[in-house]
Amino acid sequence: MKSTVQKVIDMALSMGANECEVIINKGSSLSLKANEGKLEEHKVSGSQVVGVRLKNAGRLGTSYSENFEDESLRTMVKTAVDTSKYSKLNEFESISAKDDGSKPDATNEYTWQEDQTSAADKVSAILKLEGDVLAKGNPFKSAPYNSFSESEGEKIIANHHGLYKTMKRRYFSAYTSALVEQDGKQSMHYYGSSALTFKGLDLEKCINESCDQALGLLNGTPVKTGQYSVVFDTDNLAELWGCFLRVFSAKAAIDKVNPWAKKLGNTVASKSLTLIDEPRFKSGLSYQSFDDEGVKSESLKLIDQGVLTNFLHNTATASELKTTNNGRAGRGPRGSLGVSSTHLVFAPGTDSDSDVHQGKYLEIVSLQGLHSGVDVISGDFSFGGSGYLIENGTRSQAVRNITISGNFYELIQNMGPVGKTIYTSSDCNFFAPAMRFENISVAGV
Amino acid sequence: MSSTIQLLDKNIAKSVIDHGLSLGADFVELFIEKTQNQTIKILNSAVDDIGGGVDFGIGLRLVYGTKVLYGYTNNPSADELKKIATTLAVNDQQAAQAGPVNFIDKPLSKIHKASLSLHSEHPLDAKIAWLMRLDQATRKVSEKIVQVVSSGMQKCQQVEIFNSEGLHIAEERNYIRLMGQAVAQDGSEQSSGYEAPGALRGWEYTDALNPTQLGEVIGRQAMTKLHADPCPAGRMPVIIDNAFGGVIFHEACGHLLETTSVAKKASVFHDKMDQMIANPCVSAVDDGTLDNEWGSISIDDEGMETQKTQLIKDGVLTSFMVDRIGSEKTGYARTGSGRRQSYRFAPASRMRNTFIEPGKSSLEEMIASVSKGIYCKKMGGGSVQPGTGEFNFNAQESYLIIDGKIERPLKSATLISTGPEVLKQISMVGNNFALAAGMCGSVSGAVPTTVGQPAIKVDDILVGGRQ
Repeated sequence: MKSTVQKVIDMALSMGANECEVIINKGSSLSLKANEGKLEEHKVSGSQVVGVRLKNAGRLGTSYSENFEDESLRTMVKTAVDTSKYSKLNEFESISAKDDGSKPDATNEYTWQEDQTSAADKVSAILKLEGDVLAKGNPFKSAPYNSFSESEGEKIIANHHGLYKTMKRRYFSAYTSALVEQDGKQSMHYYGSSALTFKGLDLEKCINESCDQALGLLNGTPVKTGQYSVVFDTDNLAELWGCFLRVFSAKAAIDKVNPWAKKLGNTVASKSLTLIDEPRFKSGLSYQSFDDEGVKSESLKLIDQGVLTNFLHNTATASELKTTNNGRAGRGPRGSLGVSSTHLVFAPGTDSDSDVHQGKYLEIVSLQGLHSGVDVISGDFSFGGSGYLIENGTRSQAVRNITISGNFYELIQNMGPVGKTIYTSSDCNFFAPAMRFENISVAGV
Repeated sequence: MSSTIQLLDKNIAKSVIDHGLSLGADFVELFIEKTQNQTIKILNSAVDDIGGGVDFGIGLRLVYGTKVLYGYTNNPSADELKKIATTLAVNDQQAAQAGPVNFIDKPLSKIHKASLSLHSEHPLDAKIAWLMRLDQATRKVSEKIVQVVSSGMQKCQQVEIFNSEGLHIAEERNYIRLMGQAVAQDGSEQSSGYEAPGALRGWEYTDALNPTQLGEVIGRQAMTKLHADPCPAGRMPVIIDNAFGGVIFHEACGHLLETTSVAKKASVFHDKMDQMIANPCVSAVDDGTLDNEWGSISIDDEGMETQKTQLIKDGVLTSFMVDRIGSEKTGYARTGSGRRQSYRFAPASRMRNTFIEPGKSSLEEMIASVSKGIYCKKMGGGSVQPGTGEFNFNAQESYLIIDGKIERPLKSATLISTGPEVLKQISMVGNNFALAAGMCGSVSGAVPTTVGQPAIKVDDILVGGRQ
């Protein structure tokens, strides 16, 4: 790959570019699906893509290609050079990262773990994900959606300064669903697991969670319309926070689409909330020691006891806002430069889990409409939801067909109890204590 | 157009498909794709980003009975493709079921013309100028519009399909989508507006799309919501207006009529063929043939000529959307509905241009029939759980109706129900039919789909709001 990288950089410089960065992604994957006790789908892939970002007379250009032959690479570079002429003069974005001297494979020791799992064991895994659901018998009707997948890939980031960083990553994931039907009522639930090794997958949890929730919600009914305290399970809490991550983006702040753009140093959340973006969190699947410009990524506190302390920066945003780059560049071969978070890790709260779960509240185990029911600018959200009404530690009612609405920015300023125990989302990218949200509007009957 | 597209040497295609047949596969298919993209983004009234590139890859599908083996690569060599076939078939290999293939070139019977495709070298200056007009028109709506993002996307997707039944066919699809987003701010209150029209055309689509009018719509949306009241919560009648309002049918019914879920019996409609599943005032269609519509295709991604499929007629379920594997599993005839985002996905039954057909009521009559309810002028996106038909979708611009009159604007709200229930709750269908472009994500990736309808009245649906 080094020769391809050098070729692209040489082409760019010879076509008049002053600066050049190359990203290459190369990977392969396997995925399996089962239906009625047999392998229904078996998919393998091999893929590669190279992307170039260059600066030409003060203007940026990008392009990419999935073909690595010389003619295609030349066309790609020429496209980037040609289109750069139409871009604005950009005094802030430059390709400036230099090698920090760290071992090129420092990250790989964690993100690429040897795995000798046989093909037969992988097939057994997918058949188990479906078969164990069906084996539960009536009223479990089927496990219509299930998957096992394994992905491995290598990312190379290089530039005209001689920077050349590589990162290899391998991970496994699996999920299953359980569809329950009884007396004309239906209920379905999914659960997934992700890990850096095959052995790290928790197939039993996928099966049990899918079945337990599908069965538990079968006879669910709406609660009375009103204001409720709500506790989201960890996966749905991650989804909820994930809808509003733009508030930490320096790029969005510069682009005037970050509602917290002017709130650095101000209180934006309850004192009980401290949030860290932790790229080297070794329980996570998004471990990285450098970002997509090749700049070192270290722990970064985003919210400290309710106060907004940092935005996510790349070299361009740091330059424009006259601050220090914190190594959060996000860019794939196909895209332009942005910012991205890694693992979101909340600090433990000061309350016990029993404080969070006291009295009457709604436990939400499924949210629907997350991609459409959110206005990041205003903070308003409105989702479909299902879960349980909890009264004094007991599930007194399975709840379905309700909507949960509120303003996220107001809710996190008025948090209820925040627990001390940290839980991990099933995708291993979000780590948070149980949080109780007060006075959420719920529409039911 | 098909004769000019040659993405893979025919001899390589034959050798790979023959190899797949020699492994005992019942069906072998090669899907070759070359897609050129270009995006232009205007931010802060200046060109922020121009990006693009070329995707190229090959998807190889082997079918044993109803079992699908699928692989893809960027390497078009016979050796690489045969290696993938051998790897995939390792557990299923059997005696050959069919002999060598001979391809018959099949021409397209319909071509969606695009005069200013990415091949045309239409100047970037002209595209940027159009987007700048959109930016300026949006800002002009109010001084409270503090940011505008406008962008243009063009894509030229060339696909070539060979299969073991001797099919060889190719199609070029040219897409264009224009997007505008506005952010309005007044003190601590913020709101946004958004429109994103698109078509199966080249840049000439902008000839009939006035950027000033589009900008005014986007800016007005943001301003309308800026000081809107919270939406009431609870069950009530809702009028859902035309065009993107069709997302209700897309989510509530469309996904449940794809054999992707029907074959698994993961659709509440899987055993309801020829039965009344909707109010008799509802007739619905999935039509891939409409000229230059965003969700149209000449052939589906399995090489079958697309068609118009009557899904529901006068409330009765009349057809599913059926792909090859769905047909094998359910026995229903294929409908030219096998679609995929790219060569990275095996095809699955998917929607194209899906809509409720026009009725006779006027929008005014519908609003006048509501004593207290919501008028959803512009819908946002949504999702559905196929197994149960539970769906939700977001109202992007909505108004409170009191005593048959529009009272005041409301902040965003979510409508939730189930497919079977809402179809029966549609009591009035309007005469102001319109379509709108969207992207639909499912098992075979994100594909361009059009939603549409005239205004409809849903008598009773749960509205999620904050009041």
